Amino acid sequence: MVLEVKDLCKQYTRGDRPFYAVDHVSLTMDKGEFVSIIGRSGSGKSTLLNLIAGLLDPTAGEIRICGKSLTGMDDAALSAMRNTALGYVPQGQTVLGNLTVLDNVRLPFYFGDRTGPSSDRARDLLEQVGIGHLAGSLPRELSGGELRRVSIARAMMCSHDLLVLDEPTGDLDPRTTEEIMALLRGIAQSGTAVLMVTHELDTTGYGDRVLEMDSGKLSPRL
Amino acid sequence: MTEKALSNHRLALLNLQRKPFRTWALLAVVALLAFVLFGGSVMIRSLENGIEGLQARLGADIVVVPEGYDQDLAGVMIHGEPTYFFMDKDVLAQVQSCEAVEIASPQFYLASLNAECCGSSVPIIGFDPESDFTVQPWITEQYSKSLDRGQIIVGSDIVAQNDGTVLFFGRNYEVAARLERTGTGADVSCFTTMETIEDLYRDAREKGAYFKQGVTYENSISSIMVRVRDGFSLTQAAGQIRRATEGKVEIVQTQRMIDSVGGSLQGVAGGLYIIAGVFWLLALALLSIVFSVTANERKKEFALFRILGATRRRLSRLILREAFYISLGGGVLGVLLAALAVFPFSVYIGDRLGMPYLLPGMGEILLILCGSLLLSAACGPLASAHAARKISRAETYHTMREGE
Repeated sequence: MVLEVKDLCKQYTRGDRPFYAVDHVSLTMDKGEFVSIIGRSGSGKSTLLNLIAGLLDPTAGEIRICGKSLTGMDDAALSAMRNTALGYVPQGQTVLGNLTVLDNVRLPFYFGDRTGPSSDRARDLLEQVGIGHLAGSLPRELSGGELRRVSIARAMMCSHDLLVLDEPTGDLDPRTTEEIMALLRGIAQSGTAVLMVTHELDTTGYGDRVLEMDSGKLSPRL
Repeated sequence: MTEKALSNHRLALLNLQRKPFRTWALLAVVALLAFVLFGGSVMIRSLENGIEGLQARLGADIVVVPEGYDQDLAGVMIHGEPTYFFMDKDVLAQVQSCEAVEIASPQFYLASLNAECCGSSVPIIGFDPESDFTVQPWITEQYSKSLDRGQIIVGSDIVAQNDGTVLFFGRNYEVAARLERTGTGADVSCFTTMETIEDLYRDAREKGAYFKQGVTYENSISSIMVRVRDGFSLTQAAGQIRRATEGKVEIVQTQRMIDSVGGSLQGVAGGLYIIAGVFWLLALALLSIVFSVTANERKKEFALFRILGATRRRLSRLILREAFYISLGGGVLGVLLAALAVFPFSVYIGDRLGMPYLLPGMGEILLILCGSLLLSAACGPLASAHAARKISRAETYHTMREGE
């Protein structure tokens, strides 16, 4: 099992009234599985992804990634987990403007306190996502779709078992959306579990399962 | 091509390169601070050294000079202003007769002609080797033998001719030794025995130097250096001298002369320290604001680093490192500029300040340099510590959303 979420809750308070952004959610994912989560804005999709990525502390419940529980992990362990087991592609444009495409992809390698060469792996990943020829370019020279490919390659730099994406096609045109979804499908087929949050129903056809989130509750889409 | 690791060092440098205007502006702020710290400290220490040199140079407790010439004495001692003034030689016996006076040693001052030896007129001070207790103990550091007739000891700034002589009133005098720099008037003065002064006096007369009517070498002296006997206060000694000379002389207590110069120094030093302190606080405040604003601008970037696996500690270190590079770079720049201003122009600065001025030794300069660099370099990390702490402790999810 790559991902195991049990009875996960995240409670916030709005005014004086507490509410669940994530309400007793359970979810499992196997290696190579492609799961899409759909839902309206504010339904709790992004909160769920951030909980899974260890970027938010849950109010209750447990998350296990590759068998390891995130509960009680200190910052160093959580950071190491994010660096090695989980690739996270946040919403929007997150490529660093002062680094070349290649350096953007290499970056996570050095957050894991590794030494040695990283360029070959980064170049391979850029080839896999179809932008190997842009390795030396600066982000400002790239299109939106190309930037998204850089983010995906970067998320996979440290051999992740789980790729988590928050609306990866949110600001892309239909043709680029198709290309990105085909890329993610290929990544899943190569063995990486892919968990994607989207509000574009067209993209759900690429996944193995589609789940729907509504007011913090997760359920299979009928 | 060898690849460069994306260490904190490289990430910090890349980010500084990304915003060249901001980086140079911050460097300039810290450079200004380092300039004030280093330049100011070197100046203060130079002035303190000058005062110490003056104390060592004066040696006497009291100096007796003709009435109305106390300022001229200060001019000779502190600034090396060429002048001569005389009083009756009988005053020496009157001073020696005072119970409170342990030693009284006469001196005879001359001023060289312009452009003869040194480009401008310099003071020539004659002392009596038998009774002298102020000049000889001090020059023995460079010249331990007794001076022969025709020999001269020169201050550090006096340039001898190639044959090791200096020309005064048309005659060459052998330079027996050169004194170390003191930062006082001694640096541009010459010292010799009364025998040689007699020759100089006669040559001066022949060359048409003006002496007041009745003034001759035989019946005149310029000053009397007095050491007060143990058990007597300076005031008691001064009182006895005043009575013995019937008030016809000026009695200068050297400690008061030093205190008046030292008082000015305290004012200058205090001012410089206040300016340095204000600059340090201003730089700290300015850098704090800039780092705080920058950290806010870069929230999304920092959140991304966390997402990619950077620990809170790593993030904090990255921010501190950037700040450290700015403050270290600014510190080095400021110290270099201060060195370019303070060292080549030390003589000019001393002249402009009108106080004894002697640069500290290399060891002390290095200490001041390290201290200035340390304070400057600490400025950046201190100023960015709050921003680093805040950004590294923030919840990444919220930081990411706020940065959008």
